[in-house]
Amino acid sequence: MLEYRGSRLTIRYCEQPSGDADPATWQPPSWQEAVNHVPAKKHNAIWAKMVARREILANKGQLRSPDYWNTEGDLPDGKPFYAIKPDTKIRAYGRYSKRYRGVFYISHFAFKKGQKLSSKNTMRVITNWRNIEEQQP
Amino acid sequence: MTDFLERWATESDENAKLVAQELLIAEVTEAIWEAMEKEGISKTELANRMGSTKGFVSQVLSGSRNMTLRTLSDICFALEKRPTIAVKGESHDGEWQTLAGKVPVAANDLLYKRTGNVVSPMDHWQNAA
Repeated sequence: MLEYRGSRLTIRYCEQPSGDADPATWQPPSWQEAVNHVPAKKHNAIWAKMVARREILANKGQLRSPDYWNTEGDLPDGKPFYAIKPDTKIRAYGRYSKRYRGVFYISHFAFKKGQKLSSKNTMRVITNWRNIEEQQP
Repeated sequence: MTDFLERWATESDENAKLVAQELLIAEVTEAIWEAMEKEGISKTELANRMGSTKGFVSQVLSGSRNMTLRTLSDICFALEKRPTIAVKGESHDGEWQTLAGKVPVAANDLLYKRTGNVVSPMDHWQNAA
């Protein structure tokens, strides 16, 4: 399973490589799509910022700066989901897992077109939440 | 299995250098936010204490304006905190390193003595600098 283990949290991705994909070169399709909306000259900075945000989240258990992290919306169980911000327009939507202790799931990445959270992104986070938290053991 | 971000970070020295920069910026920013949260201080309050504007504080904390060491010092002073800085090697993790074999014991006709981890000139102090 594609994940990153820090001292406090494991960051796990809802998007995972399929059986025939090469895990050594694979990256989440939503990440590729989101980054491709941004001019190429900014790509390296966005990658580096996402690596840094992800590492601090994994090692500290949370991010504090509102420039790095927002409480974005609510899940069906009333718990919040969050957005990690590696750029003004790119978001990694994610949440702490109730089912798997110490795991933070990144639902997907998105390029944010407007100011507000889109219903499409909310639905995708909730669908991923249901698939993981409500599935039968 | 490590993730695609880790793979990118280790793909080249250039990527690793960028990540190191962003990590330092993010760690400093997060530490400031943690101190602000603990003290219940807003950006406006911090700006007032610094004799600055909220806009300036926002730019510095967001990374859109480079934070100088002087600004970091001013922020910490306003928060009544003192920053601690440590430059560590990844393998040594802050351990003292021996200078044996790394520092010439005689150079420019000056004699040096080594005491533990300290190398100091034995004579001609006025020429040593």
